Amino acid sequence: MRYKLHTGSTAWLIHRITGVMLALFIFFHFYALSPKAPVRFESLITAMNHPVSSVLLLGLVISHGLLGLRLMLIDMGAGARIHKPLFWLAALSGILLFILGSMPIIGGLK
Amino acid sequence: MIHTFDTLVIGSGLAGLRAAIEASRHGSTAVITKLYPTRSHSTAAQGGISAALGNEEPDSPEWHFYDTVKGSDFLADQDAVEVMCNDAIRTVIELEHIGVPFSRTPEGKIAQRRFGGHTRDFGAGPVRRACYSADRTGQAVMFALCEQAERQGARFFNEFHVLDIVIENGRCLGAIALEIKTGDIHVFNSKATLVASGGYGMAFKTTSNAYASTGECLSMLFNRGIPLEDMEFFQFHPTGLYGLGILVTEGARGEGGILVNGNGERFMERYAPSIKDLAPRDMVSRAILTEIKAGRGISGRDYVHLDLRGIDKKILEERLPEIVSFCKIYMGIDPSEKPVPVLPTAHYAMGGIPTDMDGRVMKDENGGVVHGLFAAGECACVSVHGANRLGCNSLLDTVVFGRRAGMAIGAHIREADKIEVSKDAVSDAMEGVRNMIENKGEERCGTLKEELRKAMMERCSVFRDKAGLKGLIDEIIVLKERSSGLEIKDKGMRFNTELLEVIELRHLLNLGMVIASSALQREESRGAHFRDDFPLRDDANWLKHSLLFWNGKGIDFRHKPVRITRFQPEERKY
Amino acid sequence: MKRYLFKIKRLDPERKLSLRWEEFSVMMEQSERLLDGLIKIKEFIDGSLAFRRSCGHGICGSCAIKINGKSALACQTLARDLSGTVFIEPLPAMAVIKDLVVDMEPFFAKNEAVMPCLINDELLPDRERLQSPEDQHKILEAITCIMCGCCTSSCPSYWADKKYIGPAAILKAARFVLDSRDRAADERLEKIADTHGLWRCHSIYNCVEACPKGIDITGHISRLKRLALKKG
Repeated sequence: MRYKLHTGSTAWLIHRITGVMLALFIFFHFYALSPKAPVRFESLITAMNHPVSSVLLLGLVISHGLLGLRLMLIDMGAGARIHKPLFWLAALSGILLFILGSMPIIGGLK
Repeated sequence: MIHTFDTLVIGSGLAGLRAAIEASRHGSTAVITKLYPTRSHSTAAQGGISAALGNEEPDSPEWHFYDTVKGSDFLADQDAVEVMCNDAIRTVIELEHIGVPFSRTPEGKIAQRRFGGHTRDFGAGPVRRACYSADRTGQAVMFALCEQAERQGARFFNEFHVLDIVIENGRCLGAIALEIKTGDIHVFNSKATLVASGGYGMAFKTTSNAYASTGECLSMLFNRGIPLEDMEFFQFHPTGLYGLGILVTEGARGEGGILVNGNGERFMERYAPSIKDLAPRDMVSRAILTEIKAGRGISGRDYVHLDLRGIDKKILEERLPEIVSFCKIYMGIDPSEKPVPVLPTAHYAMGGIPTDMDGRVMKDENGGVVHGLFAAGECACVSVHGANRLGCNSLLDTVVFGRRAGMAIGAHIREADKIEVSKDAVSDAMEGVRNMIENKGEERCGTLKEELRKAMMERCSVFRDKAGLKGLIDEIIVLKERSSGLEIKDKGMRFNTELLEVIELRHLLNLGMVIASSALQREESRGAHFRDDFPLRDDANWLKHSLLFWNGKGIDFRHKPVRITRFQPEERKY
Repeated sequence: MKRYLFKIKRLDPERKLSLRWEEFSVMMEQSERLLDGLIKIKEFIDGSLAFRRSCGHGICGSCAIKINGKSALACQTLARDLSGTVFIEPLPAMAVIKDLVVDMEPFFAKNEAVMPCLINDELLPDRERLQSPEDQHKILEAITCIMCGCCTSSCPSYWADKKYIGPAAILKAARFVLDSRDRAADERLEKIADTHGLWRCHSIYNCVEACPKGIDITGHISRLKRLALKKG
């Protein structure tokens, strides 16, 4: 039976996965901008400015960032015993920020 | 495999570890345990270790001496008690020095609490003598001693089950053990062997003891002709969680908890007017069962209440966190809000392997010793606890006499010759194991064990009588016969716990017979041994220790006098 | 009395019986422990079922196993808190010796590596060393540890790197580092601040969830991280 997921391990998984995806994105970003890249510059800019990729990037940054803030608080000692409420705070504020942030992006679709 | 060590310690509880620390200073030391050291039942001790430090109120070793002797119902050997109480202060300070995390007073000294039977001024009122670490004192002391024993170089053989302690020509040569993980037989040749295997509460249905507390080492020695002393004295701790027997420390009463019957009455006021709920454990257990028999249990049922609601919540959290946790987990009760149902539970063996004050095992009542054999802790009988042990004196007993035994061992191994366990003993042990595995029959270990424990609980616990004990002995004889038909399903050799349970059960049946026989022959009531048919203490005929010998066919009963130095026996009233 | 279905993951290398799930039906009272159920199976159904147990009330740490996907003590899990089917396995990420018995040697060895002994070479006073109640409280949680192995076995960092010293050993180090009587804090911190030590902890909190004594292990680990940083 797979090990049970808790708040702490869920937070870690999300943080780890979003972190890896962001790292891949940054790697791809620099690679694409380099002279050796096979992709043409204009199509790359179009792809990256596409609302879907912008929204995805926004989501990754918000979740990784807020969960990272939670980890920082834990490491500094302030968050050790309240790590679960901190997760839910990060989740709620994250969703809020995501909605607020994606609205202008999706609005730009018109 | 064959091992040779100067000293072999059987059992990794407090006594075994303290002796190992001492013995390692003088020679190579091996410690055999059927568990891992930190799992030994010493870790379950809760309340405290007694010493007249006087950190919270004035105290003296002399009062401690008197309390222990009176608590023992005057059966304890007073010279040994005096040695223990005088050594208590040094012992506890030494434990603090090696790192035991005692709870502290505001001034930073070791904190002490009240405990049953510990008084000031020879019985004037309770005194704070029990040095504690929340309610995990046993665990705190155990971890510190484990760490020290490792540091001193003792070699640990964890999960090794002793099959036989080899004694030939009045001399102990060592032991034969089974390595549980592989099933291999190991021989330990040692100049000195210390038995520190703990108690045998598993003989009774409701016990505070671990599943591992089965006392097979005592049975092994008994079978080889070593006497067992005062086996009829088995303490029933008054406050075990109803139904489970899990211990609720006496420290709860020390911090202000009280026992209440079905009428809401603090009934201990009637039985022990001066110290009430802090009376010695045997008296409290009898009081509880008397109340229940008289129909004054809670709602007429078979338990009473331990009421901790009068204790400040902060003190409960700080000094009694484990028992608060037990009550919540096992009973679904928060003791700060509701009273806890309790009933006496089999807790401590006052009797055991007879030793002198330095742990040397006595082979008879005349002072003869078994060369190279030592014992300390609950399995030994010095005797410092006599007919009833006071709380917190066991932790003290184990460390004081563990150390003394270790020192005596140190002197012994310097002079002793090298020896070897005979090949016959080894092949006997191997054959024994093979027979148990291959045995065919209809009996199951679980059934026989359940029947033994139930019978012991019904007829040999707090209240005993001739008819009940005779019936019990007959029943055990039948169970022993039936045990020859024990068949086990697990025929493997690796981690065969079914085999181990059969070995333990065989020895437990033996011990049950010894306890019941010892209880039958003592026709008086003293301390924890109460006979409905002989309800009074009889100093004229019975101020003596019982010694039981196996003569090959049956049990011989002999006695030896109690060593009285300071306090003449008096009426035991509180 | 209620009927429970115990699904137990068994392994017996000696008889070449490979990893398999076996089902046992047990009747239990609501107040009984999972351990009581295992004992019933062993005593009355299949005596070859191997598991460790001793005290039966959560102080010795012997009976740590994986219950319904989580490391826990069998003696502290009550029937009333279980649904009809229970999944029982040995502790995760530990080598299985037989059925529910795992090799605890590496676990204890990690503990040894942090020098788990009070180190203070100063002249001993005649009486006890003084320690204020506040100082004693600093180690109160850490001394509660019963070395059951639930934490280390539940830690994903340990699953990924078996050389990781693990939460239990770090908690043991914390017990001494935070003890005002100990003088080897720097040495200990240095020992545990290596590649397979302190910094492998990512505050995943599985240890805290699994700990039967409710110790805030991650909090202690992050405390040690800060101390290690301060020390440089």
